[in-house]
Amino acid sequence: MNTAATGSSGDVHRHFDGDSVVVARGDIMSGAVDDETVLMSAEAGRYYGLDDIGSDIWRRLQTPVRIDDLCTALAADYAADPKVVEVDVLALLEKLHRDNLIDVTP
Amino acid sequence: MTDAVLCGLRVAGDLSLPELLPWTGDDRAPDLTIRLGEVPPIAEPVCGGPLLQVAADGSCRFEVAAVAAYRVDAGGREITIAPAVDSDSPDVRVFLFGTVFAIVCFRRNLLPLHASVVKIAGKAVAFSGASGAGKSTLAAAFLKRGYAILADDVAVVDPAAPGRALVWPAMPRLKLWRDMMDGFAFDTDGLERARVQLEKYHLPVETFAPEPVPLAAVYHLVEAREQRHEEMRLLSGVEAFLALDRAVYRRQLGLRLVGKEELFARSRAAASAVRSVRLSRLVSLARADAIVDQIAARETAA
Amino acid sequence: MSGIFWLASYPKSGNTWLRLALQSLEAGGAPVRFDEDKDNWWERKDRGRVGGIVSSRPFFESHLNVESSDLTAEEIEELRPQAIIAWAEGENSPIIKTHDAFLSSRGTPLFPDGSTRGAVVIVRDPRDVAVSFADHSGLSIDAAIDKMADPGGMLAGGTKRLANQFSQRLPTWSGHLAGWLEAPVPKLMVRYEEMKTDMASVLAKVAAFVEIDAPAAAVARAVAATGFDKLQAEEDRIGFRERAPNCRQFFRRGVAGGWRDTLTAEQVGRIETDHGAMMRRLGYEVSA
Repeated sequence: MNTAATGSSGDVHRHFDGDSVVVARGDIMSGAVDDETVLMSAEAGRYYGLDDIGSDIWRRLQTPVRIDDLCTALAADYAADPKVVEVDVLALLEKLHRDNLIDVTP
Repeated sequence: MTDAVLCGLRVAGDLSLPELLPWTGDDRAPDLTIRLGEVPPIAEPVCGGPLLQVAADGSCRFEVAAVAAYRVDAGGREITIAPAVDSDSPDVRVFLFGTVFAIVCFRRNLLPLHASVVKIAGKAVAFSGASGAGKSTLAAAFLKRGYAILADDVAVVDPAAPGRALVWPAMPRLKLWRDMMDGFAFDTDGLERARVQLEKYHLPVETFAPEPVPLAAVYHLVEAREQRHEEMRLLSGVEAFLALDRAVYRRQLGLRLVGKEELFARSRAAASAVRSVRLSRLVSLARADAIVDQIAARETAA
Repeated sequence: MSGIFWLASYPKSGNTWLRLALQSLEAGGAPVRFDEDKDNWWERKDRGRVGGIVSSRPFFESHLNVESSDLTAEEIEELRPQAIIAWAEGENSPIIKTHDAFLSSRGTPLFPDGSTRGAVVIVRDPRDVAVSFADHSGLSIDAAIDKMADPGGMLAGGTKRLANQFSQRLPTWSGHLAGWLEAPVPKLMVRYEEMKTDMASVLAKVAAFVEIDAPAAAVARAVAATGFDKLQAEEDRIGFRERAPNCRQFFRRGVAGGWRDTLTAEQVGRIETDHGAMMRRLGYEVSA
């Protein structure tokens, strides 16, 4: 799973855990171009590309969801190892959070 | 006095526009009216810069002091021009078909691209790039090989046509600097200059495609410094989007007029409807024919 | 409006090197990347204060909403300051590079009153400049010396094909420097030769002047990140945008005093005759 973000790479700090609830921010525009979903942060004027799995996750983030529940659902839907899914999902969420594309509570 | 067609719009007015083809369509009322008249400054612009201001009602004022002041109404239907020179001067039309027409396009849900467009195998193929990147030169190379031109320098795209982006033909001419005219052995004698003081010429084009054509591909021209950096690479996803977004003509102006979200929507729609190719090459007239061959082969096969 | 800091110099005097070092320092000493994204440097909100070069056409066009290739040279000269003012309005003390002379050909400041906070004026021994300038532009050394003595000299000018930058006025090496050193703005002068021997100290001085945080560790990292080997490798990887069409490589190993091995006595004599007064003023030793 890849995000081809146009931002710089950053440190990974854990801002959340399995109980946190995440949701896509309302001011993020998105749309499909080829097999990717292009996101635009209107506030920062930056653009991101999500591949097909990232795009699926972005769709699921349109309503608030508990991270553990998100991972469980993805592992089931993709018949994937839940541990691998968790690592990948958290990495993606970190990037989305760092670039202010999602809100996290708490 | 004028009853002409520009990008599918019926254009009427009291300013002579010799570069446009006459209107041969239905008897609708003009889509765009161009008149000579007063263009007073905007008392309290909501935004703007040194040359262009936007009024609260959405109308725009653009001025190049030595040439003319232009006003475009909020709907992109009426243009008023107050020339500082003879109204027949080509200088007046340079900015009319540049910034001013860009305003009209943004207001009319269109997407102007900084690109020249040729027709290959029944489809429109655009070459985008900054000034000096070689768009018009590449279009001229295609012209020499018998291909038809749809637009030069500013290409108007309707991004909302379902499932495709449509290119609307502009006018049958290329704008070429003197050295390119000489390089292609085009005669500059008797040709109008784009601006009286500049060595840029309007070359009339005989093979012109007067009907709108779906846009199949956009080649984004980049100058390679060395042969090993040359490439013709298909872009997709966010890369394709970014390349197209950067190719928007007068992009900052578009942002001001329609806002980030709307511009994103138009750019994304266009990017998803076309193939985007990054064309990085050594810029040399001698190589132009080889590039024409490569692109023509790709587009005929696609 | 808080005003712009200019990094001002005659070409081939170490301006790009300093700009990259400041950019690295601003990011805590991060490695430099020559991204093509940085083309629209004034639009990127996350770029930090160090930007690109002010003579960029796209910069001008995005603030004036007009195609610059449709304008005459006179119109461009009159409008460039207006583009700067329009941009500076919304900015927090950006740090921008320039090779333009301080004054336009009409004798008015290209860099408008009120939008300048200060200028870092970077100087280099003109004898070394001549060698480097010749290399960079594909000129003979004699032609480079002519250009440095030409009151009508221009950079990126006179080419038939449009460059992505405007022509920049270079009214002789001495005249260019005099213009900046006499500009009515706060100034800091730095020497290329000092950058070669002690970049850390120069970088710290410049950082203080332009108000970038400069903890010692970050300065050390920024110096390391912009050593010539690193810059050459990066240029190789990606192809550096600033390079002129005839120049094979932008980052060649700059040597201070290398002119002694390259210039003939006659060439040295010409440069010292042309620019002796300014050289002495700046403390460069002139041969007897």
